[in-house]
Amino acid sequence: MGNEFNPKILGFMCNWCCYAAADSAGVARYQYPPNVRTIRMMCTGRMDPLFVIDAFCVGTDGVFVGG
Amino acid sequence: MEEFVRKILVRVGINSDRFALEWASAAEGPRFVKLITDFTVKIKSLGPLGEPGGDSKDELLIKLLAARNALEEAKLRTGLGNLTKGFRKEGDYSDQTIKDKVDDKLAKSIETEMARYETLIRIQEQGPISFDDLAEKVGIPTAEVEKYVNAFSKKGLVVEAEGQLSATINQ
Repeated sequence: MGNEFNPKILGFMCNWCCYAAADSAGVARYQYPPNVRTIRMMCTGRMDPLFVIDAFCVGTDGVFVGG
Repeated sequence: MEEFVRKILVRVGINSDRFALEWASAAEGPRFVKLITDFTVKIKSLGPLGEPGGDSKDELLIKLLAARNALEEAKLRTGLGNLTKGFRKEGDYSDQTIKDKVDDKLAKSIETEMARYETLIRIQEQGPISFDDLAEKVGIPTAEVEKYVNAFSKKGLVVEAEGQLSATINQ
């Protein structure tokens, strides 16, 4: 654990693109930081500015939208 | 949308680097890994939300709440919708055009809507409060506060007594 700052990042990912990319990265055993909590959406076109503000309201440190 | 969200974040007092919009196709696993790693490093260097040098957590929350209310209302949403319609018509999606258009068409309404809701939230949370204190906290002229408050009291949201503003109970 330690005292290092572990940011909470919220990831909004498109089912067909970034989410699949994340999947393939996992299958290929690439290592990446575990800070991203993923929310799968059927299309990033569904993204709304409100989601971003809501995320910051509940205390995320960063928002990543992957299309 | 990206530019619009950044504008709002800046108005709220959040570093707009905390928001990223990136593209990676299903075949681009390595690219995705790179994007996530870079973004995590960036957020790590920025530190936790609400620290340091910026507003305190409570202040930030008030502004976030104001942004939330403003975004739920039709004014900004239709503004953004109409703007995107314009891009589609002209077929110009360059970053510069988008930035200019958002600055031109939406910056002002973002400013006023946020100030309006921040005024209301501050009355609800911190009332009773005087006009001048409110103006100072929201960072707008007292005349503007008076304008917003007039509208709120017409709706029955706010009452004024001896120069002090407080929220009506049960709302």
